[in-house]
Amino acid sequence: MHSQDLMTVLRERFGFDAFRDGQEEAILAALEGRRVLLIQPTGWGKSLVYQMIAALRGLTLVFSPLRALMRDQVRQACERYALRADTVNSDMDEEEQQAVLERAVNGQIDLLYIAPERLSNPLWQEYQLRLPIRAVVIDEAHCVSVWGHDFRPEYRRIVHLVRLLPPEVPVVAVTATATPRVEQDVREQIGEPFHILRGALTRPNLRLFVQRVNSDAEKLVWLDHLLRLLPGSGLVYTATRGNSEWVAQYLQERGHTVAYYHAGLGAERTALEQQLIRNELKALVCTNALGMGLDKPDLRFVIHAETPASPLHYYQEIGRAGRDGEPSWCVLLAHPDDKILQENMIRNSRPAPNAYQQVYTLLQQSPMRERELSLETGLTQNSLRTILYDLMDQGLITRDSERYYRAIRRGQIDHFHYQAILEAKLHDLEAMLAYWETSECRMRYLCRFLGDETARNCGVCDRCQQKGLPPPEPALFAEAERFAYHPPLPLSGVYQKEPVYVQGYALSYYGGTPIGEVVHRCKYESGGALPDWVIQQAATCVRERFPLQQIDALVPIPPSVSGGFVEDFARRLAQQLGVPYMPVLQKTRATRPQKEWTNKVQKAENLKDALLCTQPLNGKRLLVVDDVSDSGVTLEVAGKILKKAGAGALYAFCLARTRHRGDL
Amino acid sequence: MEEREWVYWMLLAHGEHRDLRKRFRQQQPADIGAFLRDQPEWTQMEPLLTQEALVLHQFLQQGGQFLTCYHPEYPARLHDASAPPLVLYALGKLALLESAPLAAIAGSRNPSEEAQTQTQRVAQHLTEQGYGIITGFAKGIDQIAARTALEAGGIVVGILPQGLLSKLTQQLVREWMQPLNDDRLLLLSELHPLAGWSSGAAMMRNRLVAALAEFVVIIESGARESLKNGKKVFSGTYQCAEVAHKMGRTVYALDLPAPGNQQLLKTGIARRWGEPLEQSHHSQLHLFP
Repeated sequence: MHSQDLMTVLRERFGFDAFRDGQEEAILAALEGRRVLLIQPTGWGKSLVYQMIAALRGLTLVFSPLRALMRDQVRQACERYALRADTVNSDMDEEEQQAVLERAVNGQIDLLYIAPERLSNPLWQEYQLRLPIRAVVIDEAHCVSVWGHDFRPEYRRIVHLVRLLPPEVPVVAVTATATPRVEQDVREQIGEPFHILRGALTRPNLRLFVQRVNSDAEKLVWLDHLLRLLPGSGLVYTATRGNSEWVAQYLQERGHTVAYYHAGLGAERTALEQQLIRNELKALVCTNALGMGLDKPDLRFVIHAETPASPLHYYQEIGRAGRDGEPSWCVLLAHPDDKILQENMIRNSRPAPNAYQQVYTLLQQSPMRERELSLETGLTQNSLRTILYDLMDQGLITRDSERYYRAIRRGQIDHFHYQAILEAKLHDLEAMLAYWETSECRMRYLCRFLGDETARNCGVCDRCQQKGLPPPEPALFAEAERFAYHPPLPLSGVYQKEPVYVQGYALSYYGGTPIGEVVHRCKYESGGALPDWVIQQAATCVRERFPLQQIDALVPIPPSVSGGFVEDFARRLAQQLGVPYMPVLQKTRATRPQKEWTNKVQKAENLKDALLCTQPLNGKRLLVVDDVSDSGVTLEVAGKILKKAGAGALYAFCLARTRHRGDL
Repeated sequence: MEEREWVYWMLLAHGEHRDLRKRFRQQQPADIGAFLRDQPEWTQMEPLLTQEALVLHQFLQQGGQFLTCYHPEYPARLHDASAPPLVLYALGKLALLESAPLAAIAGSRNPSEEAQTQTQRVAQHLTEQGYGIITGFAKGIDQIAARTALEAGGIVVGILPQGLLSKLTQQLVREWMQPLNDDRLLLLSELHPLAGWSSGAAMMRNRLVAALAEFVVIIESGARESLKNGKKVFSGTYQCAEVAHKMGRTVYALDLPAPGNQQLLKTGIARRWGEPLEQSHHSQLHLFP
């Protein structure tokens, strides 16, 4: 293939007169059989590289991690360049999938987007021997690496596939962000001969700021203030789903048109994105479930209410701002607790070693499908899938085309590997926290972390300008303090695709608050019954935070060991509120106190089948009451049992919640 | 990198191009990629590379191993077979082939009760004598022999007449998962992973059973050829004995009334199992009870 031929295709098929720097080099290298890794910022034209290859070679298979992302890219390829692009994914029924695959077989598709999981789909496997695939693209290639910000174990399969491809089949991997370590990892995995093109990462129109906040109230004040200060619409990132709801609620109360957005939401997510795109919302308060695939070039700001896990995450998330090149603001609110919050998330991101062993042992005894495994182990779907992927990745088990998992050898599960990953993640977190303090240009700091040593000072960040953001009016504090006094509960369970609880609050934090101390004394040091003033405060909080007219009864969580602490509190609270007291939850066996278990899976195990509901609930709307909530697992399990018994809307209320998991 | 050459081998081994294979066997080129790119068939083969890679990938994910005839682990005894396989697919531990001498047991899919009892006896005895058992792993005699040998603590090699990703094989693998994972069972096939069962392939695999075995024991065989619904059919067990005999492997047959057994003994293809040998190829082992 000569440059001249390339130019002809570029002009006639794509309507461009010239390549951008590096595009032609990448195309030629791939066509010559080298494995190409493109690390270039969004907007550089990575997709043109593989669209050209598809135009030259024929059916090109594109691996992509997210369905939303695939949809956008399919639309783009079809609309802009009249390429025949399509996708096969689990949103489509079997007939639709078959129709696309048939067209691919008949040479009527240039670009076919699939998720890596598709490789083990039986229908796909039926077709794979007839698909005339001539080139392979790995989009979001950083997902291959555990050192990246979005490691996906299923991406490992692509690596195994790519290693089998002879040089006649062009392979192109693309990503917007890869640290030198991620780059090295991708290179080792995909194999030689390797050709890398790394572009400059500086985004000159992004204005980076860090603002210290020392309390939840101060954080809320700044968010309120920033939404008034900054032009256009944007995103407010929070670290957890609970926080996104909590922050959104406050901002709504303050009169902002915002909504929360996280992976627990269903179909309305697309509608919310559309509202944001049409500037009908000032902001979406979201977890990192929002991001890849959001097509809004005029996003004017990205605020982080909590510090993300690494500079890589941060760069990726702020990278969504200002794709139109206009000035945009990226503000990180730095709270001292962020460190512990992130550390806990990193440590809890993996199921416990004994859960791995349990699954592996079962699969050595006989082949099983996911459903059987889930019944047998009682693990959550997420944990079970993580374990299955990891065990497959280690070559200890496999899944056949009839969806049976089975052991393929007897071996040791390698936990050491995960320990190393964990330490690396903690190290990246340190680098993120150092971003708060750095005296260097903030953009340069991020780019250097990502391996771009060419970055210069941006000239527009708070370090370069030596000037922070204008401070908020002191008057904003009173309202925020009132709101922040009662923290939201960490609730994440889902029942029949709806969150188990509509909302949940604690009267106070457990550590370092007067209420927390009283609760601790009464509960663990036999300090007797709760004083009346606590009950009164609790009643006030419930009236303020919950729609009391819509609550039919109050249900206490039964204690793990003994003692009527929760019952006593719940009965008195019910009396004070004038709501019926309904102790319908009963223990069927003794359980250990939840605080003795270290992870959510074990906590859920501890409660498995230990609770039952003594009567049908016929749509009753209930306020579920507990004393102290740590992980939220007890409330989640209890809530699901109540839902199964026919409960309507559920609300949760506790005397206190821990600030961080495991603080009991 | 060798992995990147595997799909070349697949295309060579499973494609329609008989002449190409002939040329390959004559030339034995060191670089298969360079060889193929020079052949007139290449233009038809090149578009298929990714498809085969997808299939091979699926197979490897199942814990399978891929072996070419150039690979150091490729069993040397297979060169005794006519047209030795260019590629082999394996599930289980390949080193089993080296861990013990192998004795083949062959017999009917629908055995008589007597034959079933005899199979267990023979398999038990050979296992106790230190032989691994190799069979075509069909239902009936083959699998009874395998089960017996495994229960007696022995090892088993099965040569399958279908691809190792076929539905049939997947069922077998789930059923025999334990011995596979215990490194006591090895399943081999020379066929494309997705190939289904065929009678032709069933016949072809006999040459591999015979080549890998030191000797073959025929438990119960139908007549060499017979008429079924007015069609001529050949006995697979009988053919196995013939192939082994031609290859120079000793063939034993049990003295059972089955027509094939008697035919084999009469023609001299097989010796009577249990009769002392004039000169034993296997003198170091006590073959007979």
